[in-house]
Amino acid sequence: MDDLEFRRALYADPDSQDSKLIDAAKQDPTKAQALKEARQFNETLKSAAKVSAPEGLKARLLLKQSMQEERRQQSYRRHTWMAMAACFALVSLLSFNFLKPEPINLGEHAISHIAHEGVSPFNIEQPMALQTVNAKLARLNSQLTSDVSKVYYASFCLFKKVPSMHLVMDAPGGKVTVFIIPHDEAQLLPDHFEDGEFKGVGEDLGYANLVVVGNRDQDLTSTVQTLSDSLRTI
Amino acid sequence: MWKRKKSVAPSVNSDMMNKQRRFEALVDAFQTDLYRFAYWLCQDKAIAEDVVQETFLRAWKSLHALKDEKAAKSWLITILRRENARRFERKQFDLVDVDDVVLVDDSISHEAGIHHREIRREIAALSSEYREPLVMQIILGMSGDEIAAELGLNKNTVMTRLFRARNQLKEKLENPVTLGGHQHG
Repeated sequence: MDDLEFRRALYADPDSQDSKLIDAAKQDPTKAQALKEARQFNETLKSAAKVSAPEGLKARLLLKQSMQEERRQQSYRRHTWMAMAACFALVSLLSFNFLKPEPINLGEHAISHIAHEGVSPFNIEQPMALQTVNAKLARLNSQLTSDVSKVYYASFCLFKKVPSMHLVMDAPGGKVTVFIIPHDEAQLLPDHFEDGEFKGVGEDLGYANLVVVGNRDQDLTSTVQTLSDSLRTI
Repeated sequence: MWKRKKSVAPSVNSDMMNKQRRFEALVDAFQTDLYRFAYWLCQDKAIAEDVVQETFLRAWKSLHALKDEKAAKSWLITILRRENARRFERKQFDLVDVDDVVLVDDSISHEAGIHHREIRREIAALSSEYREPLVMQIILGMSGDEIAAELGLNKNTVMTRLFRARNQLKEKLENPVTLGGHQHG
């Protein structure tokens, strides 16, 4: 094995156990030294390349998977009546809503979305970095300008085909759910809404709608104020 | 306090529990390496996490296709590379300037940290055809044959790229050109 061949093999894989490489190093002290240095350099490379994985990654991976599974099971269970419902929906769409689509009530939709997702988003204990939340918000041309309360969960969801942001964050009186919904034609934003379990507040940010939902007895005023102050369009 | 509106499935069968266990084992075994690999492919922490999320979701959906656990790593890597490529098709993410990102990592400090940061900057600066096989080798521990199979290249090409990747890194780290650069060696 000549020098060039040796160096190419060594740099291509310093940890190689190839006998030609090892033998060449045994017979030549210069090559032995080169082998040692290349292996040291490779160890340094390996440790430098090991960027730390974000905390809570596993919890978020499992959460996403369980939500996916839940959706799949529900859609399977509803499969039969969905087919019928689709027929009725088509008929009603053709007969009543053909010219003007029914506006979506963002408050009602927010509550049914939360009920659908269940408790999983609330069980995350590990807060997310503001930077990570903003990386997601950027897709809605939105941004949190300052550190608001801790955000535990940030995911996209649909409000009648409008991709929106679903956050779970700390607030006085317990974690709340926050939706940021880009403006769209047929939207109805109630100032206040509630059902037996949840209470919510809607606020128009000018470029998007903000909906904050907490439990029935929670005061959401300060949370809405903080959020509308720190959310900006970019 | 949170009531479910839908009744829970009547019985969770053992197939489903097995599938869940297999999936969690995969997450445990590969999440960190896959995150690191994704990070070096896209060089942005948030996007890397999104890519890993999509990879595991896809893996969950087609877990039945994984017959041999020994093949799990290369199976996941194939999925991850495809998800990363889809990112460009969708043009959903904005690309971030490399220098900004590499400087962000704050998990290390002092002498070793400075050195690591320089190395990371140089790895990031490698062209992707050199960086990808290198990271597959040093993070994922893949052999030349495995990398060749994954990238659809012949082994000689892969070994040449690995050689050039290390050669470039060594030259740049031994002869830093930036003013005020930290000297080593």
